[in-house]
Amino acid sequence: MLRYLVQRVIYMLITLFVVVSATFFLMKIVPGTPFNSEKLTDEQVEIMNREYGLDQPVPVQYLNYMAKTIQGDLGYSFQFNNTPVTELLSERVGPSAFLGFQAMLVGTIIGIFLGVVAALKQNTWVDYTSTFVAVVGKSIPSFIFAGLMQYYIAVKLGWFPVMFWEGYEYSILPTIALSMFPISIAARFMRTEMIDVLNSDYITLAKAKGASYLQISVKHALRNALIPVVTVLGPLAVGLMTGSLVVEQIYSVPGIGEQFVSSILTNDYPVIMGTTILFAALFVFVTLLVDILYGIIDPRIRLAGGK
Amino acid sequence: MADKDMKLTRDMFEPVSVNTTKSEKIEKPSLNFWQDSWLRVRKNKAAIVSMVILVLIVLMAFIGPLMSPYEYDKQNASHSNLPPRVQGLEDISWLPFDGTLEKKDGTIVHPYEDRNIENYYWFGTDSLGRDLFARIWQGTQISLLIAVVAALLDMLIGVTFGAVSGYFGGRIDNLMQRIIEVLMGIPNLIIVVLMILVLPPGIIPIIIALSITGWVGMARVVRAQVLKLKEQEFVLAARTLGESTPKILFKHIIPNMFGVIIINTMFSIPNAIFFEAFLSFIGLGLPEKEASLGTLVEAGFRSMLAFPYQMIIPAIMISLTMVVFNMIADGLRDALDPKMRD
Amino acid sequence: MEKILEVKDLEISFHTFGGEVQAIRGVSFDLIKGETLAIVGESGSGKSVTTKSIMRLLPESNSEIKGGQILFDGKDLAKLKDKQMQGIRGKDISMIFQDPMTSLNPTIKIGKQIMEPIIKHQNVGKATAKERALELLRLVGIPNPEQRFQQYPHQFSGGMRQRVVIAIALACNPKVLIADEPTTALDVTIQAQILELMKDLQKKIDTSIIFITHDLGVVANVADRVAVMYGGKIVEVGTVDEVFYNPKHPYTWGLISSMPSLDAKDEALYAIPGTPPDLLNPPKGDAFAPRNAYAMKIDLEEQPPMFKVSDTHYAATWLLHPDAPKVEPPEAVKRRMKKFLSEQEGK
Repeated sequence: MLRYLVQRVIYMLITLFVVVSATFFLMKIVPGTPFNSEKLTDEQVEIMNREYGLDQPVPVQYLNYMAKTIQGDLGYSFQFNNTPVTELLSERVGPSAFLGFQAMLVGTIIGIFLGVVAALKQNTWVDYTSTFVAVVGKSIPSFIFAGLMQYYIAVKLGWFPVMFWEGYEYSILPTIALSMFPISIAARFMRTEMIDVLNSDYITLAKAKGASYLQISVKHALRNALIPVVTVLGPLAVGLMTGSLVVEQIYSVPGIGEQFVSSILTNDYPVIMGTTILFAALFVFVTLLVDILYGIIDPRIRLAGGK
Repeated sequence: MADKDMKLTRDMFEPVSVNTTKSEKIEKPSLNFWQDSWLRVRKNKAAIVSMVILVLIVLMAFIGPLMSPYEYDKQNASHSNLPPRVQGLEDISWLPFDGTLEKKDGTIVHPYEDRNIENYYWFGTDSLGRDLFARIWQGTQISLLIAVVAALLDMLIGVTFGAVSGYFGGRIDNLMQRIIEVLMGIPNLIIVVLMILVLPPGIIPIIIALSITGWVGMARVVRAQVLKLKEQEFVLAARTLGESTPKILFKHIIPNMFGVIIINTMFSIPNAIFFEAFLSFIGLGLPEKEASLGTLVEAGFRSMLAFPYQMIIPAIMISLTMVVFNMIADGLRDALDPKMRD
Repeated sequence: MEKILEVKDLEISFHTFGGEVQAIRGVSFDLIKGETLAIVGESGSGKSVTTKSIMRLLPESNSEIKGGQILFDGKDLAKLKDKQMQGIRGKDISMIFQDPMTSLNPTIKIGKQIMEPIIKHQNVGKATAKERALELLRLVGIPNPEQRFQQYPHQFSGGMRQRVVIAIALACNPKVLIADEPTTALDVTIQAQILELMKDLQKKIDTSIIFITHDLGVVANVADRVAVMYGGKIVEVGTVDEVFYNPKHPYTWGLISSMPSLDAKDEALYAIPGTPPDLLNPPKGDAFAPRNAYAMKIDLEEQPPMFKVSDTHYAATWLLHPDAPKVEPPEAVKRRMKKFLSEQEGK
């Protein structure tokens, strides 16, 4: 297990290194400079370039950037009055983390419930409905949900605030929009796993012991079916990150996603790079966490000492 | 048991010769892969309905822009923001095709009458007076084109990479797997966004950006399949008989993976449609003049409060297309995945 | 001769895409207190389905008991509600399955899995149940039971797991124990150990056993009586001696002569020609007729009834009809039978 962990951490670092380098070089060949405002004279642009170190040869810039990144310094935003990128991002982590966590929680719980019910009532209308919800939830992009809900529920019915971030009720519509994806993925995965488990020999043995329907479904089947669900948490987290970009934008939530989109539109390179690195780090970290979690939950892996 | 009273005559106890080979006759006609698959897919009603809808969507994507009397990119400032109106349906008030528009405060306006416009715009017009009917189908065409080309590229790269990695194994495989592992570690979103930032806006850059990330999943699945198949007896037999490596790969191994490859490709099409729309939504999509489902949804979203139809129609189109593709892919997976065979 | 379980004219069908599969077509047998009844037959003959139906473990979604009775303790199990059935499963009738690798829940500790039926059926506290579970582990020959109690199934070998499954089955001293090919998935040496264990335990706790197998060697070893199944029916039933020394049904001849033996190197192994019948469209006459070298016209027309050979020995073949020509089992078969019998006696 330890060896496996070390190996995983090394991969994690390589991945991050590749992301940071790729981001840096890609940013270098992007057309357009952040200082393309017509109000600035050439001389002013040159001064600013020097100030930001943009006049140095690219390899030097790269080394500087790497050194700073390792120290946790992601540079300064071009657009926001030289605010450090880390400060800018840390201000915005709160709403994003809150939304993401809430959507993940709501989504997986509802999804697992739907999947289990569908498996227990296999090939009945309950199953078909749950499967249909899952396909629709997976198919329709979160920004369509977000947009339609904003129009019908917030604007027309007025049940929830249309946008902004001024209280708990502001988080409800974005959460629903974001949780559609986890709901459908968890429901489909859970259904398959549960059916698999219900058909396994140890469930027959549990029946042969005289265990009741409830005991079998909860004590024997659910537990075993839940374990592999941990493996989809990683992809779900990525789905949420993707979704958060547009959902935060639609509901004007002051989160990382909204920041990312606006910095793309304003060519604010340091912020784009910072956000990219943050996303990649988060992703790699979640994947690792899922792996460890899986090892802890499944006794076969835990005690056999890793796969 | 049955009729005990039946008379048993002596002659009934004469031996008969039994042809034992008869009982080993194969009763069912043997079906090839495609016939067998089709039999299975046919049982899935949702997939069949989806296929019919998809055919209609594809047909309309090509015929639609021609059906409309207006060009999809022709601007007409005096006809801007007209709600949908269809000949014959305009008098049925509960259908949304009567050419009226409900404002936010609940009052109903009649832009066609107010502005003295005789024309019929079936899906209405956008803020530049372009016909949305033509734009929707044109957009569907572009979105489908992007998605299909991206999915095919994914397939090509993924199958090649996966097959080479899986078949040759050893150090080649090791190296290729490490590359995949690092690529898997980077969220798609980031790669796509970075690629789009670097490349000039347009259809081909979007396809490239989508393909750069899309093939990894296919490569992994194909590699796993190749690893499994290459150990099987028919491949060993082919090798013993001296078949060349490419011939073994293309004649023996890859045909056995058609199912998996098709399923994967079918899932990557809606994924590509999603990413195209997503990029438009965060301002990295096609240039404004072009129409794709993504740019239409995005433009519609901006004017949603005043002219909801501009958002709702493309939203329905993109959702329908995605649902249909996913349903077909699900149906194919159930039908083609050998794991689920009875 | 107290009958503990009586199966009468049992008919079971499965509903599949292709139509109705008549898996069991009128099966009747008794289980006598304290005996071991072996049910033998090839795959698909219906032996597992029969026993699963006694436990009512067939999937409700696609299987149906179309007729017949399963009488146990004055109740017809075929008509019991699932709730009532839960009180019988694991308490009065319990079951051992074929594959010990998959029949234990991988995420629950061994001890807890053994305690489950004890707590469920015997109304005792956890401490008592644990005592009993440890006792059972000792009984089935698992060393260090206290330590093993806390372990997960993957820490056990196949043979050890099957011992655990047996311990679970015996937890409540069942009146009937159904063993569905309990040794098929195990190594030969482990097989012998498990068979010995079962014989030993049967003496200790005085239970009746239904033993399903396709291995005639195992049958001769453990069983008192044998029922041979073919095509969803019992074609021959009798004591072990009767069925092995004096088989009447051509299918039984085939089974016995297809058994490999150590000194048979000069002899080709006999194989019953053809394939088992398609129970989706069961044949009109005797299901074995198409594979039977002694088939008569009537075999193709009428299903044979059970002819009585002795008080305990019955066989369903028209060859036993007084009008039928007298046929002897083929020489090769007889020789192999003799060889087999002398081997068994030598043990």
